[in-house]
Amino acid sequence: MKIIEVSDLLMTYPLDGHALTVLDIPAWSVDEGEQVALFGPSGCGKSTLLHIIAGLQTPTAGTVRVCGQQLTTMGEAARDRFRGRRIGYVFQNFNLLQGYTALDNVLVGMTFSHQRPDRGAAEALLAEVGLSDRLRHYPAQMSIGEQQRVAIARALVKKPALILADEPTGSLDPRRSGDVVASLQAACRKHGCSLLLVSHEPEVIAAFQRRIAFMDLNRAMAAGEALA
Amino acid sequence: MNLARIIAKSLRQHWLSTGMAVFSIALGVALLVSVVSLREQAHRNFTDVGLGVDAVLGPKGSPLQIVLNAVYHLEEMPGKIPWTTYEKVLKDPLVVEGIPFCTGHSYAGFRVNAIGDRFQTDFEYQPGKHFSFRLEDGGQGRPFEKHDEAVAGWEVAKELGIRLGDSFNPVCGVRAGDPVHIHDNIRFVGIMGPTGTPHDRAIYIPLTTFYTLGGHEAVAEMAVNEEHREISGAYLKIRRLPGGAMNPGIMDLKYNINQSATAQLVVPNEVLPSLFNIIGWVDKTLLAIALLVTLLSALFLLVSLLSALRERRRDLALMRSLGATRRTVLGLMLSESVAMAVLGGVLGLGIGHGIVAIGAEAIRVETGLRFSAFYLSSADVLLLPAIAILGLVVGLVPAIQAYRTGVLKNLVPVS
Amino acid sequence: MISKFFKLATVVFLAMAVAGGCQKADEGKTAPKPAPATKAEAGHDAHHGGCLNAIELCAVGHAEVKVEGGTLRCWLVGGENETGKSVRVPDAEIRLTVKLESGEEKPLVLAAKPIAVADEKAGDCSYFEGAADWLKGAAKFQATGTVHFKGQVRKIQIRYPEGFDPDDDAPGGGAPAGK
Repeated sequence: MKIIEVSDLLMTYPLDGHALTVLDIPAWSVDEGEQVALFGPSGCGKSTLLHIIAGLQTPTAGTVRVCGQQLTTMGEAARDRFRGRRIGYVFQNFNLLQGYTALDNVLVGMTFSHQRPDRGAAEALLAEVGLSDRLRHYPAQMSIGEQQRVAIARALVKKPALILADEPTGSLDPRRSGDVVASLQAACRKHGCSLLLVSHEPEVIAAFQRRIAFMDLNRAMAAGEALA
Repeated sequence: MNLARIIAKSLRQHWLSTGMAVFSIALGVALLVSVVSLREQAHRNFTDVGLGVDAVLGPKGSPLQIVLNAVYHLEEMPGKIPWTTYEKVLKDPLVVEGIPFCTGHSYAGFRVNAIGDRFQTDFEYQPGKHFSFRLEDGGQGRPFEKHDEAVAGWEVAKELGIRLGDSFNPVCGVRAGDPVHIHDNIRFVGIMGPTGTPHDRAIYIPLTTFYTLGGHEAVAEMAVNEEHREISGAYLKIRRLPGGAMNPGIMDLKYNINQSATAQLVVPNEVLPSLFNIIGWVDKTLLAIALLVTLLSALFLLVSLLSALRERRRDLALMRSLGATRRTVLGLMLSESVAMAVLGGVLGLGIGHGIVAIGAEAIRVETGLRFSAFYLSSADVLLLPAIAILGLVVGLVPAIQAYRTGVLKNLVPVS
Repeated sequence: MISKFFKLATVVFLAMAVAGGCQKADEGKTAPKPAPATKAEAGHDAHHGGCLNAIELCAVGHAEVKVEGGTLRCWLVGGENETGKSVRVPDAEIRLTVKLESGEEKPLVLAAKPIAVADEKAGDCSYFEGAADWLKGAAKFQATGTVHFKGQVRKIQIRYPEGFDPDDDAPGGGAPAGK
């Protein structure tokens, strides 16, 4: 089964009286259980694609199916609920709630998925990412790498079908990027989640185990993808 | 982590602005509760069946002054009436009985009233309730019998530490510096049990003692000569209709007495509404001030929520990205607003009753009237729902702004 | 749109608060009291619930008349707004000629009933009473007589139950005095 199916996807913005094309993808898909890294230079539309797949943005034209559900015909509230249940999102700058501990940040990930908050599962996930001794710490008390691992745990806690990671190592020391990517991939494998990771960093792509797709400045998915 | 915990965390996170908004609402609510409670209790106190007095036979002058003196032991009587007038009034078929009294003396700030001895045993301070000297009713001793004996109201005895057998010298007047009857030692033989009425705050001596106090030589013969006797007034019990309603014939009785040159009949339940009209404006002003404070508190709450929203846009956008719908976010903001308002309301109720407790004690000390801090006024019943609605209304603006918060604009840089 | 919402919410809240305040303010105004004096015209209170009949002129004085069973009660009181103040007369009785609705005329003698508590006595009295069986069924009647009122012999005109005010009979007169 395809976890992501994109068909005739077009995203344009009005600019100075004409349309600026950000995305133009005739067809693209990701299989269930697959892990894909999307590589391309800054400004090529990687994040925009992720936003559309997450239901945070609606395309100008085309269809996007996630887990068999056509997002492009759903209302905003339905997309929000779908995202809350089926999609975990890891941001470049973590976006943790500053007033919440690491454990509470992970539990918030479950709140809007309509699951009963499971402290045990949250603690186990934090232990899995090496933060068992940071449960009661606030983001300001953690390093950047630790914050990103909390964000990963938060994305995974609701057992989503799909993890979307938008430049997850963008704020990190390049020497640590490989570890974070490996950790993310291992966690997704363990929990049976598909993974779509976007990055412009060659180090990240070099560390990525699995399929890599390329986006070029023509905004179309390059034909021919390398599979590491 | 459920929505209630998220709300609680948010309130704690902005504890300073939350605390100030809650406190300001509490202040407004406390003012409202205390004003309404004191107002309702005052109304009950002052209209409680005239405190056992159907009518007061008094001298010409201000009816309000007569009621305040005769019933509440405040003010002074504006004059005297002849005993013969009192006796003529007693003969009217509408008058069941009368208890004459003379006011104008005091002791340690409490009024000393000379009164007919049946006051101690027959006077009903509330329907069916008489003064009691029994221990189980909080009383002591017995009614006065001799000319140098007195009984004290419960509040007087408590405040002055009076014991049976103690004696005192009455002051000829009610102001500081008035002369003392230094040769007249009057002994307390009884303490009346508490009644919750102003009668708890007075001392009572036999009527005839009034005329024989030292320095009262000019009126001494009034003790025995009723033809020349004068009194300050008399409590009258009026014949009632079956069922307890006041006999309409009292209007004729009042007219007849008022035609005399020296006396008038005053019905406390007719006079007291005019007192309420006088203080009614004070009461309305206090209520208006309390409402205004509450309104200002609501504005403060609004400002507090709006400023918190500016800091929380990112958090709300993050929650949206985690699956919260716009309606969920709107509900969160509204719930926070209602929670703060209700917290302020609950705190305000407590503070308001505390204010009543302090005020009640001061009023009890000064007037003998009882006010209770535990009295449930209409404000207690209505305020919390009203405050919750207020919180809902105030929270609408920030909630709508939160509803309209964009996710991507407040969350992620576009790559 | 948001500012309009805010304004509307403020107006609604203020309206609720004022309405609640007015209702609570009204609660304190009701106090138990006997039947009030009936009002005739402005300031003319019939203190016994009867009807006021001007003695020649409203400014001179009034006879307040009330019929209870077969007894006619008459209080002589002051003029204008002084209808609560008694006026004593030296007459020991007031003789009236009563004209019933049927047109029949009957004599009625009102005897002086001094108000003891006001130290009145016969020859110095403001209250009169007269009884007759035919009064029991008399719902409406007119009566005339004379009385020594304020130093002069004056004519009494009684219109029961509406009362008598000579101003009402003048051209363009107003509503009758009384109940």
